[in-house]
Amino acid sequence: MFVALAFAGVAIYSVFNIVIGLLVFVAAFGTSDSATTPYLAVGAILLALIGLGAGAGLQFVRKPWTKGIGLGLMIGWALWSIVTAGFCTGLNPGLYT
Amino acid sequence: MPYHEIFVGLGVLVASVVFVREARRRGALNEQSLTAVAGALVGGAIGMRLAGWLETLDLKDLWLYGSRSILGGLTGAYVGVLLAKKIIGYKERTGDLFAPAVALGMAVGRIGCHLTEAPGRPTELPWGVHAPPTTPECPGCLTGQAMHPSFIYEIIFQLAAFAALQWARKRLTQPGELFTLYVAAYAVFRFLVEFTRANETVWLDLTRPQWFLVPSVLLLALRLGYGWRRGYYDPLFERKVMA
Repeated sequence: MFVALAFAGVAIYSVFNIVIGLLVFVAAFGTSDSATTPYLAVGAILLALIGLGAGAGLQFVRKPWTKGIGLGLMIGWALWSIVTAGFCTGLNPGLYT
Repeated sequence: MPYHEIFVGLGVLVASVVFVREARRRGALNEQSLTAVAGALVGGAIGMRLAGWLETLDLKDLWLYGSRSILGGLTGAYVGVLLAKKIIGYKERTGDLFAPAVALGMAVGRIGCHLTEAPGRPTELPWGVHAPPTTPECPGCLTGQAMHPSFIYEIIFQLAAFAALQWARKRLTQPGELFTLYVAAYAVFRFLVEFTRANETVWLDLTRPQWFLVPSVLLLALRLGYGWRRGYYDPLFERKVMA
């Protein structure tokens, strides 16, 4: 059950990552290199808050499902972050250059 | 194609499969070991960026390259596991679960490095390789020189380490020593292979990773000596301790 909830947490984070990544992409589309930085920064902070902030916070909620989901959110943030070379984010900077 | 990211992703996937198999074999596939994995991944992701801060404070550089330091990632992962275990009050050793997973995962991940980064320093050895002139930070690529395939050296090391760990895990009985041996072997290998890597030298002809590794190797040597005196590695050498 715990492992299944962790997988669910990874899936939930992945949805946030894709949606926020798409929003940043749309917002930054057509702007110069330097003008994309604020969009990327906001995206990075939002994703870190969802993955690490909410993930860590759920560890302290005493409900049977929160620990697994919270751990999954954190694992999701780390996985997306590692494989896309973003700065504390799951956004791939290659998309904007 | 983002080959680097694809192979890093595949490396993480392979490492996860090996970790689960090893945890299952040792009867340690539980909430605590999954928490340790979360600590390793989050710590690793942050550690990769902290290592980038040592090289540059340029936000764009960090953004693009900040997550590519394996040494920073491994150090961050180690600290992350320690913190995660401390938070949940878990006292069992978990390093032995990670060692074979990290070795095989890095062998896969390094394929991406070989395909996208400067392969190494110029060489006249017959197995020197060429890389496209578009490869970033690679003067040898622009001049068409043959270079050391340093990432291939590392892939061979990681595969050999994985095979050695498979052999040693049945013999070592002291918890945590498989991981200690792997980290020590990798630290020494990495120090040596840096002489063929294209990384910038900063002082006394040594690169930043080498300066990081000098104290690390010394500490690991002390730790190995401690284990050797207590006979932790005797089963590997069939050494008999004097009574």
